[in-house]
Amino acid sequence: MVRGLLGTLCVWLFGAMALRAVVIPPEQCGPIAPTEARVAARAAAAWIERNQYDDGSYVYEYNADTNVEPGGYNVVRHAGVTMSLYQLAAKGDLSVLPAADRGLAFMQANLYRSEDWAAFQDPRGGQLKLGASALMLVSLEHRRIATGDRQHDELMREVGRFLLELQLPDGAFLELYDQPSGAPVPDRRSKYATGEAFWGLALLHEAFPGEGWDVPTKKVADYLSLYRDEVEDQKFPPWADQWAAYGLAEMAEWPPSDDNIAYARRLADRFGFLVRAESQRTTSWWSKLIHGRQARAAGAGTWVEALTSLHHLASVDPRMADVREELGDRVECGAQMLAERQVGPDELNGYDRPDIAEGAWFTEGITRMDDQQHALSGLLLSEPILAGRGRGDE
Amino acid sequence: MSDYLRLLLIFAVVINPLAVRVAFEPWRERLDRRELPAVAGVGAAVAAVLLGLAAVIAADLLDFLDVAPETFRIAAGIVMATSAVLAVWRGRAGATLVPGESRSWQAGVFPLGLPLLAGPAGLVAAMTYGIDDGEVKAWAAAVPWLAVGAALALVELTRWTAAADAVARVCGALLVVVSAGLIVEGVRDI
Repeated sequence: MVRGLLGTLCVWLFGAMALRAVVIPPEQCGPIAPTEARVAARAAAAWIERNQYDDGSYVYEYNADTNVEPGGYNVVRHAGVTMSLYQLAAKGDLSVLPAADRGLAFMQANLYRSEDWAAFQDPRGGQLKLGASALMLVSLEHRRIATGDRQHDELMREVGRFLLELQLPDGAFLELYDQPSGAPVPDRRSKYATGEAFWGLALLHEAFPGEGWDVPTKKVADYLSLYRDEVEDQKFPPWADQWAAYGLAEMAEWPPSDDNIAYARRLADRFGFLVRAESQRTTSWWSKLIHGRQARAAGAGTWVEALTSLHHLASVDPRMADVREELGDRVECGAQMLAERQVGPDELNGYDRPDIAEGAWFTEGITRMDDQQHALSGLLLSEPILAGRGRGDE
Repeated sequence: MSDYLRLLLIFAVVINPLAVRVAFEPWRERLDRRELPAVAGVGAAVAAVLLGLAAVIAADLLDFLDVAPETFRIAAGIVMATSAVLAVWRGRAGATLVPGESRSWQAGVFPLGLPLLAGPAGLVAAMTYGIDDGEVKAWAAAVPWLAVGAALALVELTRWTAAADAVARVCGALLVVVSAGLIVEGVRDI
């Protein structure tokens, strides 16, 4: 009996160890205080401020291994980075306004106007991208919330009308407006920009209730909830769309339809899984072999952004209330991972450019401006959730 | 369907009493028939204690291991799927067990209690369902099937061997479905 028992237990122990090594390595989810999240967010904002050029654009990418800025620029990401600064301002930190306003000035200097609408035009290729204008609109809306300044109200409406130029009857959006032909480019959609436009329009309705911006917003909400994954051939639906989560959170008090809530729950499942899987990744060779490399902050940050938005929705809408606590768990885990992976002021040895290293997130030696943008937004929005969970600052 | 009924059905295929019975046959042949009730009683008791223990310590153990219950569901599904494939393939529970020196009540501890009645699939099922549905409910859903599995040890299969083998394989196939559902749930949950 003893020999049989010992043999069985040895086999089980081996199996358990294999399972532990491959499927259930420890999830690195420590606690994080609200202040730690805020400090990390502020450090990311400081990175953006330090690495802004005089024309309002930002350092796009930096390779710390080669000490090279490879160049290139992306206007959608420019608008997103600027938006993240305004998010911080809207949460009370007005010190970032000068940098954010320079980022906005870059967009205003590259405005394309036609009839009654305006769009942020790519100064390099002249393209009018939905995503760039949508995030410009979100920037303007957060600036308005932060400052109470109404000087850009008409510009917000103009940009909103540009978004509507690209909206299809079923609520979906096309990605590009073809300036020479004066019409949207047919059949070209973006898995990012539709959610960005959704959020922009939702905020526009919040800013100007009674002007009818809720109608196109609800249409795109339904498109995202019911049809997008199939129409746009998403291989693993739902597409992990943090912009859609932002939009749904903005609609929390409208309130969203049952279909929207069902979609929000699917998003919560997806983002929760992504954070759980990421929390199992380390920098060890074994972890890289089995689970792949750690996600860049531009990815992990979006997950935290989405989870904070869905947590807000779950706090307001009773149809989501049952997942609020779990969402809070994942927000905390994601925020802690982000804060831990940020380059702190005492970790600058070995960097040729400490000004570009401090406050940044590197993946295989490279940081890009949207790493800081998404991590900033995620950490910033996690702060009140952490405080609400009793994560006091000791 | 009530939660308890759902769990009862799940544990029927997880414990798979007929697969246990078929796997126990080589030991049973070596035992004195008068010893079988004691063997069956010890087997059921050992398995019930182990599954109860697994359900009770599950939350603390996962906490200690830094594993979220949602993630553990994936691991539990994999373990259960492995047992399921073995049951489908061989028509009996457990890996290859060579009848050994276990005599009298000792055969109730090994192999009947552990690993046949309280096998890897049963233990991880007790853990994951214990966390999700409550330790008592999960344990109470498992115990009837432990009793059935132990009671079957008292019964001669003779001409029913082929039928038992077939039912054990069907239960194994159903366990494939249950474990796949658990893995999907683990992936899709927050």
